[in-house]
Amino acid sequence: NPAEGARCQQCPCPSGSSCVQKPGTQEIVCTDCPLGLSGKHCELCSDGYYGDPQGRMAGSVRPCVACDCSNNVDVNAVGNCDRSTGECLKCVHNTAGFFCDRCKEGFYGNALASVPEQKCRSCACSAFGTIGTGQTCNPVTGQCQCRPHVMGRDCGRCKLGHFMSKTGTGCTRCDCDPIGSVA
Amino acid sequence: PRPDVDPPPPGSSLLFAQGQLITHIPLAGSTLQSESAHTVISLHGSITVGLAFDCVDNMIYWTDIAGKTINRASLNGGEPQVIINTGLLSPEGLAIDHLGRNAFWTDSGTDRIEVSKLDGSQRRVLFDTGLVNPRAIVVDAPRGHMYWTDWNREAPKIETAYMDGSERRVLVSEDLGLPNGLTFDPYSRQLCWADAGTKRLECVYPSHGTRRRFLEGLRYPFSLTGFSGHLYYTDWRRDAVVSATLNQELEEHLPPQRSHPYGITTVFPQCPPGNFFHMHH
Repeated sequence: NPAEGARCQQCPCPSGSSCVQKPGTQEIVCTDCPLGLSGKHCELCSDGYYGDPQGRMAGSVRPCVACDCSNNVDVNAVGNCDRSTGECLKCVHNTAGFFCDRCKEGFYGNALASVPEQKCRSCACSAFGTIGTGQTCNPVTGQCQCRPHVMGRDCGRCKLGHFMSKTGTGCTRCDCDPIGSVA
Repeated sequence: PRPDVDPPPPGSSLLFAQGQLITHIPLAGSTLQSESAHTVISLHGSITVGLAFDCVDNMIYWTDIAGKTINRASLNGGEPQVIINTGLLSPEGLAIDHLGRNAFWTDSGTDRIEVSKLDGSQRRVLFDTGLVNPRAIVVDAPRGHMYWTDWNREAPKIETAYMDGSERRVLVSEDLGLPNGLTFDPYSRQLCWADAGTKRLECVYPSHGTRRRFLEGLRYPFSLTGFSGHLYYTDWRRDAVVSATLNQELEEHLPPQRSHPYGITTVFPQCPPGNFFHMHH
């Protein structure tokens, strides 16, 4: 700061961007970090970007790039991803995972489908025909875990010749006369 | 009442948040003094979103979604102080009741609205139901009202309640898109919001509900502040602070740092008029 007779020093900021000395402190703050960069010395990524522009954390320099959350974050939200690792923090459309690239627990389908409604659908396993109370199902096919002699994606139907017992133990054989009975 | 367009009290200014910076822009009347804008606080590693000002103690309050904290510091410098650092996921809106000495905030991670004393003590949850993407929150301290926005894409709304959490009701739910910003002008007693879905600034008189459009064709408004006929909002496409009056954009302040500006609030040289004359409960 020439006013105090000290010689001018270059700003500790990338590409020579300008800086200011905070009044009454020795602290130098960069004031116009390039796009995607922020922090006192532009050493951090701005919200919505991730990386390690000056290699301060893991040693290797990783330029700030926009977060990639498989189009499964809301553009109107803030803090969508972790600024150093890039982990997506606010997955929407019932997606989950580091990049919001899979369906969350209790849902199945293709998190990368283009139409939001077709991405992840609820397992909605039938209470009577499903083992356990959990709403988990195969993340791609949506197949729930059926009790004995039960069928259907959501374990909602009995195999031929069986009926759904109300006691929630799955389906039991009809012991009826094969000729006189209707399937 | 016709919106009075008398200039703001002399010495008013603006504060806006941008990543780790909180920048002060003086006003001459209602004109932005861009050339004398300067950084008042630089917070290592924080993403400052909600911003509010206590006109009694001249203290700046802000939310940091990176650190998941609510903090304060004096306008004229001094060490920042954390007032809340637990139970926060995405604290985005913040309001100060300068009369009751309380802080109100929204959190779109926990989907709650909470209140505490200005030092963070006596914290309690006011609402934890019926909220999807709560964001901006403001108070009308003398009349004991609070207002907030929820940019839930299925059902965006602006709600109101008394500051003790009683008599919650929806104030606006029609023709809304992404109501990100909200401000209550203590002088004209209008509630105005910035909507990134309809791309409009709109105002309503809460007392009798007449609503009107203030400015249209915005690019991507986030936060809003204003008084006596002038509104100032932050815009994510322009990465700028924009000033406007009825149906007319006036000026733009382009900060040197190229990143999204978030919260913006007004600094009055003295507290707006009105003290407790209607204390509810």
